[in-house]
Amino acid sequence: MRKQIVLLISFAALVSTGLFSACTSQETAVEDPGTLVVYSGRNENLVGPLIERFEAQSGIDVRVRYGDTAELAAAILEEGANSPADVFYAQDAGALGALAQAGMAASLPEDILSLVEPRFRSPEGLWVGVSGRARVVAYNVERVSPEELPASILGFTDPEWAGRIGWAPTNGSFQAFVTALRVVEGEDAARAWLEGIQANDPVVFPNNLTVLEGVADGTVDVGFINHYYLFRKLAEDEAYPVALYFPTGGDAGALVNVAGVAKLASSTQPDNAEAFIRFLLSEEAQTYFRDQTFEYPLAAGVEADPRLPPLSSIETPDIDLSDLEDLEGTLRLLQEAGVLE
Amino acid sequence: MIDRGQKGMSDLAIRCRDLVRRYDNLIVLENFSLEVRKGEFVALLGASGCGKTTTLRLIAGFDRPDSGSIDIAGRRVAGPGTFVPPERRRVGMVFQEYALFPHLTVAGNAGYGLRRAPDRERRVRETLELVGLDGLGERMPHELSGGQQQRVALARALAPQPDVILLDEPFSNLDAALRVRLRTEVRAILQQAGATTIFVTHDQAEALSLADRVAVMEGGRVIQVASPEVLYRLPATREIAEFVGEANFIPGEAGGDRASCALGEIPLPLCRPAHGPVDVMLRPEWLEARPAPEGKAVVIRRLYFGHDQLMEVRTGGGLTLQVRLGPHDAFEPGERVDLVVTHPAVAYPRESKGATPRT
Amino acid sequence: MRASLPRPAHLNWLSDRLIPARPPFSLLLPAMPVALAVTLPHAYLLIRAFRARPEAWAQLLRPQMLEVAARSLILVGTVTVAAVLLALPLAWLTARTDLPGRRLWSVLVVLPLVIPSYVGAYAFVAALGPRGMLQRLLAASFGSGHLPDLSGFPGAFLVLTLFTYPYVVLNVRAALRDMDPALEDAARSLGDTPLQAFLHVTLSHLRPAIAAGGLLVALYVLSDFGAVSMLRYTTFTRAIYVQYVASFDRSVAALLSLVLVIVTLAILLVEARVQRRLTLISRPRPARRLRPVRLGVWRWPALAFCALVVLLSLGVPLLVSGYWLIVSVKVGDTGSSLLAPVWHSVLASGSAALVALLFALPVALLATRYPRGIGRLIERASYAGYALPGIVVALSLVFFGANFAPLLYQTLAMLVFAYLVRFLPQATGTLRATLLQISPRLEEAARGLGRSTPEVILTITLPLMRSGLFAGGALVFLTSMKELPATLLLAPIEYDTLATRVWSATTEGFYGRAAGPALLLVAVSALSVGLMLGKGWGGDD
Repeated sequence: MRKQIVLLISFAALVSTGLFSACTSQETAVEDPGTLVVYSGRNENLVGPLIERFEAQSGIDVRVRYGDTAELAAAILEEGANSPADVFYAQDAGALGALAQAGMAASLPEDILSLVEPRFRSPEGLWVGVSGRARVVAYNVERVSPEELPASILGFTDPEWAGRIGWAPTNGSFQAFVTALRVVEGEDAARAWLEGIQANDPVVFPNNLTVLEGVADGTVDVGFINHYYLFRKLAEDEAYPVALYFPTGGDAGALVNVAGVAKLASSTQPDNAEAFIRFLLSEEAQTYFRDQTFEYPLAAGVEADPRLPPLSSIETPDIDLSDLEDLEGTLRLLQEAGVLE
Repeated sequence: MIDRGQKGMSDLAIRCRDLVRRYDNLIVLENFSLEVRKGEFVALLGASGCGKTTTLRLIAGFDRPDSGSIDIAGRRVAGPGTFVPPERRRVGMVFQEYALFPHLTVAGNAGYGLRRAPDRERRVRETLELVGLDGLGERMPHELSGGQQQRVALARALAPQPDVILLDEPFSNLDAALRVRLRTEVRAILQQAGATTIFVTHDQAEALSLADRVAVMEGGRVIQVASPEVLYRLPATREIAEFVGEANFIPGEAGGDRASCALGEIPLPLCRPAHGPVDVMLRPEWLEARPAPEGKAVVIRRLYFGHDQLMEVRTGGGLTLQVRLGPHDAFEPGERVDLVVTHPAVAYPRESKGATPRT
Repeated sequence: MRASLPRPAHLNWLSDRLIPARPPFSLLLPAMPVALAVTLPHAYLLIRAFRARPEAWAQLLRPQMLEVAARSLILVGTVTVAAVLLALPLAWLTARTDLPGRRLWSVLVVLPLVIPSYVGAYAFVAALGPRGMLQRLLAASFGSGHLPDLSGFPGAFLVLTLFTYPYVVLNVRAALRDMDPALEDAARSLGDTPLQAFLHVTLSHLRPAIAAGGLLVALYVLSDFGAVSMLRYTTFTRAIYVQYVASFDRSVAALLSLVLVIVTLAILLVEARVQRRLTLISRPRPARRLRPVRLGVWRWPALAFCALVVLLSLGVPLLVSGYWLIVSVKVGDTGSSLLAPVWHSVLASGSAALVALLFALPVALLATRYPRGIGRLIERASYAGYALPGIVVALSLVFFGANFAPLLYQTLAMLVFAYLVRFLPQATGTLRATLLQISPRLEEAARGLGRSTPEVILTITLPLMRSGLFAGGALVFLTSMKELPATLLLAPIEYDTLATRVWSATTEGFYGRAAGPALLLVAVSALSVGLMLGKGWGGDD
């Protein structure tokens, strides 16, 4: 017993010193002028190396809090003016829109905004897209020829696709696509499409990556995913038997969603924040997105991966991306159509 | 602390005055008062639920009275605006289930209350000797028999030499033979230690045989405090009479120091005269049976206890009475006898529902 | 022959249930900050709910909400019952029998606690789902055959049961070890078979522990997000989360959370009813040495049972992680160093366990020794926050921390505090169940011998609570190890733990990078729990 007590006490002492040092390091960090605090809803595995490069080049001490985009957005809203964050780097435009709507995003200077096409940034200049990802249809090249594929994603309700479709209805990008479908085609058309696909007995996967794997191993012939997952697979295995098909025709199937950044109105380091945003839109960073995350570069004239159709050729639906926020309606629709329980 | 009766103050070990304890709307103690002198051995006797254990807990400080006061060794420990916590009362308690600390050795248990006393080890050794457990100090409680555990509990309470020792049904967990042996031993140990003791019991034999004085409780009050002899011979109420030993009740008519009933004219004690319709209480040994072929009473049955016997007889008037016999008397069921009263009876006002003798 | 004094019948119960005096200040004082801590999330919810627009209230009254409530309750009910049924034999086998390798099993069967439910759910889908590894294996060897679909209710039920039953095991095992074996012997001597004795005596004695463990399971299920979202089963938590993601509407989320609090209170009432009939406080008879039950031939089915449960609950996630690891080593992408995350995880969770025990002790003491006082209230209040989804508790602390305690905000102290608010009931519940088995007469005896309340707690109560303390500490430790929402939002910046590493890798599909931290998470937990349980339960083995 005595030995355990000694152990406990030494652990408690260790903890208290830990607590203390954590407090002090926090304070010094705040006072150092060369810092930047980023709340990143984008994954560390994707953007971590890029942020390190920025740190090395600028000398700014960047501290990143990674988390879920929606949760970080809610946290910033709760923190209010006391938020330690200078920049919010979000996975999708909806979260940026919420921040802008709450008046917590600062206007970005024109020279930053002008780097990006208007369809990929806030109309009010409160956030800007950094990289894009397209909704695509992945198909197994051994089982499907490109001619068989319908012109629009709406065509997959045809009974000839029964049992051949894979999807991940819990995935956020998929739900954003359904929201776009509702906005562009109307509620009834969206419902009809969901019910049509459902009637084709699609195979349900937990996420995009497993959909892709399902397409590759022949469990299904086609799958609805984001475009970049394939390139990661191709990097591992050049003979990966899957190709991408970009539905055409300006309907919701051609949705390109963006990851983007906003500068917080409460930022104590506005200059560093802008420097960071400029870096993300620089040729170096945009090239990184093309080569490492296989996303669409949105600025600096960096062209997309040559295996992808150029961004300019994709007729994206005419909507403000941060308007894709009625996820609740989408979820209700998914439930009513029997897609979600 | 200025009070009447200062003269007796100095040798009063415990003084409870008008203690009241309620739980929600249940009154558990109602104006309980008791005084115990230094070195005295007092029993609290009553059926379970009468408030005996609550009283002990109030004295020990595990509970607070709603009103009334408690003084221990002349010090106010509970009363309006005063509450001394148990650890500062110098009261030792022996619990019904002993409550030995299972993770400590016998010596650890016995020495627990001594803390950093300089002569701790010696005291522990002495106390264990006193209770007859010398040499068992390193045992764990679960390695001991019930009787030994009881002694550890006693040693633990005695070791800090408290002003007062409280025992809560201390012998109820032991088998009959052990109980009788142990209680005389415990009595002797406590006497040797010079401790003032209150012990709680529902066993009248235990109370009568051990205590200097017995306080009988009922419904949260003390209804009689007396020496065992007085309690037995002059119970204050018929309930006490029934509770403390066997009792015969015979309807009769009292007139001062005498009462007439089915057994004839019976003397009443001078200190307890009575008038009007009464039940006359006679202990079985206050009656003597004499063989008489023409006797009015018939023997029904005989219970043989070895040291004495108890015989049931039915009188001509249809009363069933108990008579104590010596070990050698021999009566057979059906035999006719005469009953003679050998001792003054105690008379209680007649109960309205009519007096059927109860045994 | 002996007559007895007539007594009022209504007084009978008092002799057994002695109600003690007012709780001492030395217990009330440390309990107060706990009361404050556990009410913070509720205060936050009320603030948010009061700012809700009228339309928000309308959201609550939609028929879907009723459906969500029904789904949540069905899941809670079935998982709780199944977890108890699974846990009882496991606890008994590992605590009281001569099961071969008992010490090892006793660690293994509680380890599933450390597996984050989203990882567990993913592993199940990946391994046993209709297109999982097993299916492919089957297809390769037998041609075809279809495994049932794991999504929806069956999957959520299976996964949550397998990852929550250890709550009951830990509680019940502590109770089994502290129980007086004389009770079972008595039942045997009265003609019961061992099984009957278990059912009649042991089981009723274990009810406080079962209730405490079952409550943790029920409330965990109510608060779980990972498994239900992965397996597509919409419960309250998912509905609340959707509010954040969907419209960033914190008021509707708060209103939904308040409904969840009400559901929790209802569950607490049910549990209190179960508990009321069993405020059994065991008699302070010195415990005798426990003799393990000899299993004989039965040890084979017993072993098979333990192995099956461990294989499913621990083996599946580990096998899947191992598979990831192999793949990632092949590809050469195993992620960065894990030294800091290991240290961070252990430091934060260890502190949380220690602090939780420290604060839970006065609360549990008040709740058991002075059941009519405020202690019971504080204990209950801590449970009301326990069923809230982690993100709600985390956001409430973000709100209070950033605006009212900026110096503490996003420090380790804050993180530990968040774990405390989230997981305190795991400690209070376990300690309470343990305390119910320790007679208050022992503490009174000690006080009567001149020791103050703090001294009595140190010298008598704590040593006797040993198994309970270690079990409660282990619970808080394991759950903190996998905690995500509060860790992500409230830890010092760039304070990554094993759990955040696993999360970060799995959300973007870098399973190879998840394997290392996932395996380490289990290994570090196994080591710590092995140490804790070894010490807590070593004693008389």
